[in-house]
Amino acid sequence: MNLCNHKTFETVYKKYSDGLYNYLYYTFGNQIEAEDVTQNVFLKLWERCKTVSLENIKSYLYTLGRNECLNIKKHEKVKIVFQKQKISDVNIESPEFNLEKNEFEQKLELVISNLKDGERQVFLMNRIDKKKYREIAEELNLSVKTIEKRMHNALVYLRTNVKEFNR
Amino acid sequence: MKDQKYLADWMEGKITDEELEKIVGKEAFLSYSKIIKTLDNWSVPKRKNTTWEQLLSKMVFVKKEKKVSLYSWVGIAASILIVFGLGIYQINNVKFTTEIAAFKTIDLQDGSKIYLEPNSSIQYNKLTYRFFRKLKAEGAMVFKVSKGSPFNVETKNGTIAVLGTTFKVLDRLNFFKVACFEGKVKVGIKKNEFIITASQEVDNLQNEIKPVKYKWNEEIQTKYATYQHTPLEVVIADLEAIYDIEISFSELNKKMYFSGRYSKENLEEALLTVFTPFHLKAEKIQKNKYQIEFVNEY
Repeated sequence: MNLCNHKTFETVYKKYSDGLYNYLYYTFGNQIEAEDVTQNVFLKLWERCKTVSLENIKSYLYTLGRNECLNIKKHEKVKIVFQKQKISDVNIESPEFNLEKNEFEQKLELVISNLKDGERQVFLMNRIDKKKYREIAEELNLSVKTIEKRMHNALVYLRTNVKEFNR
Repeated sequence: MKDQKYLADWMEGKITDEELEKIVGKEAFLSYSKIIKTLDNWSVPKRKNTTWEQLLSKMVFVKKEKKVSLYSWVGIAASILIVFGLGIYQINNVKFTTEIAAFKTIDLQDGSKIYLEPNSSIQYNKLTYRFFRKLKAEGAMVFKVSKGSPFNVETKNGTIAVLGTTFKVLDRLNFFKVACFEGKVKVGIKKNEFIITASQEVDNLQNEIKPVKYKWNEEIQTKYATYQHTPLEVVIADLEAIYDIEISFSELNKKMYFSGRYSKENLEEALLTVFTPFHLKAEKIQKNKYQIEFVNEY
């Protein structure tokens, strides 16, 4: 298995680029920036294909991603937006319900955007990408304890702030 | 409070809804649940500009730029030149060969002449001959060399270097002999070098190799083949080449040497001339096949 082989590299790309892109999207809240950095990271990886071992490729990718972020000048205020699944069962939902739901979602997005970078990354990697704490810890070179703390704090922060918006 | 992580545990399913509700109360539990459930229906916007194909096109570009360096191009150019040069060299390599019973005269570009005797060959490169007069020889032949740069002949048994002269080479079996008719010839045999002058010859048979006087003033391509102290088997090889015959012999004394000359035009006479002095006789057994027998003298 040689990373400098196109086929191997393609496999690595298809396996890890989604996760990396999502992580970068959680960081920037900006699709274009996240895509740029994703591509740069893989081009860098390709340049260094001879020196990188396949075993720790995952954490290496996230390290490259983090370094790229540092190179980018301080990004603007994060304004994260998600795609929402439409709930098909229309009968149950009154227009009022939908309005309330939309409002709530917008608030939640805003509050998530205001989370600390580290908490937002970890929280969304778990809630959206459905990654286990151990997996996140491995990718970001953090301890599981740190992940748990960030998860807990993030949820507390979200509830507190969404509630404030409600009033 | 700071080290609390029950929400993390709950999100990972380590504690149940009921357990969480007991810890945080009903109201808080409901709002936590609402946040989590809302997030469950969310996903990250689809990527637009980072397909594998787009990345691949950039990768190949980066790779190409790196790999084909100036050195590679110089290498490729050098290889082409070498192949081209070798081709030219090969085209200019020429070889002349005489069959059995055939003679050939070769005129070289500098005016030198080579008289090839039967079953012999000469090989040289037309291109490099201009600068180094160097030839490979096998068999028997007479060289008439024009004055000029050193003229070198290589055979499997020895080498010859001359300036301008006429000489004969006999290189058959393991026997090697050079006879000089005019000028000077430098002969190399087994790491030794000898300079022989007109009317001298040297061969590789003697224990102590040294030039000896050559009394036959052989003319080029005469009717006669001339030898001085030459192993009989070499003379037989020459006879076979000149007359296109096969001569077989069962017992031949290794110490038989022939001095003298025989006709190149009359086979019967030549056989008598060569073999009679040794009390031998060439008996014809088939067309072109002869066997050597002892002659009993009374």
